[in-house]
Amino acid sequence: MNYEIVELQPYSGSEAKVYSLIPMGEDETLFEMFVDEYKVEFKNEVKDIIKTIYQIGHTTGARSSFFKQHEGKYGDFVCALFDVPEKNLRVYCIRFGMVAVILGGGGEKAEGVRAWQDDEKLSKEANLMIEYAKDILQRMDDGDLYWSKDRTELQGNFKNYDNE
Amino acid sequence: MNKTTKARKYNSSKLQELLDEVTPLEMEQTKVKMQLSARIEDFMRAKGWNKSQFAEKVGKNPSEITKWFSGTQNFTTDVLTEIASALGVELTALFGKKQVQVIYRKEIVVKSVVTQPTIIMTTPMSQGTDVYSYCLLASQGNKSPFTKYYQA
Repeated sequence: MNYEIVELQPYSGSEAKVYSLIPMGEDETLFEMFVDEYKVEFKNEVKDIIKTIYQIGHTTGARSSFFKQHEGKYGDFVCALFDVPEKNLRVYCIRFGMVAVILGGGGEKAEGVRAWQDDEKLSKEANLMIEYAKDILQRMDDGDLYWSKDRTELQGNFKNYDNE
Repeated sequence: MNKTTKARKYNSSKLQELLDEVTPLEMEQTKVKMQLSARIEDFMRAKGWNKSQFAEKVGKNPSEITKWFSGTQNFTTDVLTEIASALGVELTALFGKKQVQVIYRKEIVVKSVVTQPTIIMTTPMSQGTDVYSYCLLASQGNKSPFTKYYQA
């Protein structure tokens, strides 16, 4: 997988670092692509997501209760933001405790859809995040990415390009 | 390869445009909702209860408690009064600033039989922390793989 992890400003803050991923060849993050796709149809909900992410970064940290845990494979830290019944949108991310979250894409969880596996778009986005999580965790094992000494942010090589 | 580099700081005009549309009042409302749910959860944990036990105390389903803790709940004063009563705290305490609650402080003196220096540890244990994060972040210190729990 070829991608760059970037720190999203001004969402990233003293309570949690907020990152997203730019796939190689793209000029924007997965999270921006998600926002772009839904900001007309679900404008208020997209704004709610943005406000929530800002507060996670600056006030509360990435508390587990704000996310639906275990959306990916066991132990891969993939979760979904905003998985409450009355909300239409889901954003998939990788949550590293309270201190960091990597935002991916997401989609609409239509009425009647119980799990992301039941919906083509959600499956695509969730599976993509699972793949990214697998790669990122492997890179952490390899020492290519690691935690800062104070354990508050990721450091290392943020561009995972085959040719670099 | 331990290059000490940080992630590139990335500003998005698209995201900024949307953020600019959020009024300070709207942002404050979100902040209060999220802080409130965090405070309630912290108080619940300080009581040693899990979600099911808390749900029982307030006569709700555990799924309702999950919603309360999601940071999206717009609580009514009636529900907040019920919650405060179940938790045994003043209603105003739910809106108080986050405090690190010392639940146990004890000076531990460890003396070795061999001629090692005395080790003194003080243990301020705090509530409201995320055990999961400690497990995760400890992986690096322990030199254990981050993927150790991962099932392909």
